Amino acid sequence: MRTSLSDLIRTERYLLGELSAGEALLYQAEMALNHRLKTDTFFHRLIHRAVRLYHRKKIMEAVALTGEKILNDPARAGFRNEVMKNFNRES
Amino acid sequence: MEVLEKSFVRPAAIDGSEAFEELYERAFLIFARFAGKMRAPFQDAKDIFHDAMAIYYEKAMAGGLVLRAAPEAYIVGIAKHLWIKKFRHDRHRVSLDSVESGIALTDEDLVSVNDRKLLTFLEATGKKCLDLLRNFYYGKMTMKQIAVAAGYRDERSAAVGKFKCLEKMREAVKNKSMCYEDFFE
Repeated sequence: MRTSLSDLIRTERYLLGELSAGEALLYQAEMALNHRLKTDTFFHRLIHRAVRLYHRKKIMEAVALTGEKILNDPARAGFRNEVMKNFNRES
Repeated sequence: MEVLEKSFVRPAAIDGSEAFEELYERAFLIFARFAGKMRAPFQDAKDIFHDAMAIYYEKAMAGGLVLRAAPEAYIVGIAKHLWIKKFRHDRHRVSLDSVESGIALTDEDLVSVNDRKLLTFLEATGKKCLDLLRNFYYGKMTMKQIAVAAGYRDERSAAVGKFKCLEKMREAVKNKSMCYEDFFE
């Protein structure tokens, strides 16, 4: 059985903290009694987590790209040398 | 270390921004000195530093980050905490100043094995939806901009698309028979 759009919207608003305190309390009470709602909310939260991870991954890609650009730029050889001298010590 | 007035962070744009590149250079030089003292390989130091930059930017872009020191001090602090988590045996060798000690990384900030499994699965099944939802939650875009970026006719269609995506992805994860234990160690 698929979730209705209104249920989906309510879960989204609950997870985004957009429900009033009373509505949120009611939602939690319903979750305690309704296993399906509890499960749906759990998986919905997982999707939020996944989107956050995806967002982080995109930031990471941009950071890595900048790093490669800076560390391989001949005009910034001084910076690279300054960094690398910390790693070229004999142990 | 330059200590600034308590202020909210307005991060420089990441892509091609000179300010971002300057911040990268300043912070990496400081962290490289630390990593060198710890006898770390360059690649490990760079990977941890990039993770720290990403965590810093994610927090700064979300708008809730309040700094009591220069951004590079905060980034290096995050990197040191990541270092301690990765190389637990080094814990006693890492000294943290007052700014660094005040940084707390939560489980939400860290990426677990199960997180990677979840993201890999959803990237394979619904990358378009991930892009759409990312724009909704983190893009700081108007509904109209989101609609244009995702190729929807108007704002209303984009909003419907958002909920279709949420349902599609939620069902996909459910049908994969993923359960609580798959995501929590």
